[in-house]
Amino acid sequence: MTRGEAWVALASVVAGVCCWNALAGAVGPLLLPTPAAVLGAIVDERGRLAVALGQTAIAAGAGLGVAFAAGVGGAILAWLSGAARVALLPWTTLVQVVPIVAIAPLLVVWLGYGPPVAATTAAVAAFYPVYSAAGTGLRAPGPELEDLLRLYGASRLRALVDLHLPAALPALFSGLRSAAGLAVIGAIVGEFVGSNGVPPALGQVVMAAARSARLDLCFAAVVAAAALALAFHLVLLLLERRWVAPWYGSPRDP
Amino acid sequence: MEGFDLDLEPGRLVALVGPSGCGKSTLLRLVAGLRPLDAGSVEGAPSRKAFVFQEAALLPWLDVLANAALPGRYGPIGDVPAALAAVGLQGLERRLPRQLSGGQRMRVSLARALVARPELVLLDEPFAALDGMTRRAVRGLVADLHRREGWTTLLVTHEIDDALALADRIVALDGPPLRVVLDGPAAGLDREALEAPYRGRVAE
Repeated sequence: MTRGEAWVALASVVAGVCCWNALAGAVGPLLLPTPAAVLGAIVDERGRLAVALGQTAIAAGAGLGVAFAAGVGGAILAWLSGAARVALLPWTTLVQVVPIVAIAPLLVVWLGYGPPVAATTAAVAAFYPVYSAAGTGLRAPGPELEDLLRLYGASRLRALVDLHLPAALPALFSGLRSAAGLAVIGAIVGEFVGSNGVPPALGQVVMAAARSARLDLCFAAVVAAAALALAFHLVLLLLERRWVAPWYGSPRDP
Repeated sequence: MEGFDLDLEPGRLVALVGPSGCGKSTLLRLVAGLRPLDAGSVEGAPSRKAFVFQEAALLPWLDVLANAALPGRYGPIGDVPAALAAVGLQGLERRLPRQLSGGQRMRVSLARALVARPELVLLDEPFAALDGMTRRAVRGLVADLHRREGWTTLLVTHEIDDALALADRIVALDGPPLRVVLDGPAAGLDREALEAPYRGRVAE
C-alpha cells in the first residue's frame, strides 16, 4: 500500500465511524451504541474481555492446529493413494458441509461446557480449506520435477519430503489464512452454546450481552473477535513472507 | 510410436530433430526409463543417466549449490563445487533460482547432470528457453561437457542449427506415429537437406 492509498483507507475508516456515530444518535443506544460507548465498554470491561479473548484464542488456535494436522495428514494420504483419496472423500465432504451450529449442542452433551466444544467447532470449520489447499499444493510440482527425482532414484516418500511438501507451502499458507478466519468464527459459534461463562469466552460474552441488552459490550466483544482473527491472519502472513516468499520473490498483499 | 528402432554408439552426441508434437520428447523419456513401454525394449542403457529439461527444473527453495547437489540425496555423486566451476557458476553458490538468469539456471541444470556422473545424458530442448548470445554460450558448454566427460548424449531439439552445431549424427523424425525420415552423420548434412523431409507439411 502506498502512502496515498493509506490515507484513503484511513479517511474511509474515519468516514465510516462518523456515519455510525450519526446513525447511533438517530436510533438511540438500545438499538445501536455509539462508537464512544463501545470504546467505553472495552475500557470498563477490559478484564473480562481479555480473559474471554484469551479463551477464544486458545480454542480457535487449538482448533486450527487440529485442522492443520488433520488437513495436511489427510491430503498426504490422498496424495499417496488414490484409494485413500476416494475413501476420504465422503468424510471430508461431510466435515465441509456439516453446520457447526447444529453439532455444537451435541458436543456439549459429549464434552460438557468449556473450551473443548469451541476447539472442536473451530477445527471442523477450519478443516476443509486446509485439506483442499494442501491437496492442491502437493500436486503443484510439474511432471519434469517428478521425473527428475525419479530418475535420480528418489522414492515416493522422499519425493514427498524433498519436492511436494515444500512446493505445497504457498498454497497451504493461503488455505491456512482462510482457515484461521473460519477457526475464529467456529470457536465463537461453539461458545454460543458450549460456554457457561466460567471462564468467560467471546462467544458467550456476545450472547450474554445481547440477552441483557448491553449492546455496547456486545460490540466490544465483536471488536475483540475481529482483532483476534486479524492477528491470526497477520501472523500467518508474516510467516509466509519471511519463509516462503523469498523463494518466489513475490510477497503477496493481504 | 510403432516399429521404431534406433541404435546409439557410446561417446557420441546424437541429435533428434523434428517438429513439436512428433513424439521425440516421449522417446527421450522412454530411453530414460521414465515412461513404461507398451512393447519393445530399451537395451544396454547405462544405469547412470542424467536428464536436462527445457525449463531447467530447479527447486525454487534450494540455492545453486543445493540444487546442483540434488542427485546426491539419492545416490553417489561427484564433486559439486568442481561441477559448478565447470559450468562457470563459481561465486553464485548461495543464489536462489529466482535470482538467476535463464542461462544461469540452465547452467545449474547442467551442473546437476554433471554431478550425477552419468554415462548417458538426455537433453530435452535445453536451449529452447534461451536466446541469442546465451543460447550460443550454453550450446558451447554442452559441447565441452560432452567431449570432456565422454558422455553419450541424446539431444532433442526442433532447432536444426543446434543439431548441426553440436551433433555427430542427426536423426530427423516425424510423426506421430514417430518415424525416422533421415539418419546420418552431421558432417554430410546441411540445413537444406534436413528441412527437405518436412517440406509440404502443414506449417505449425
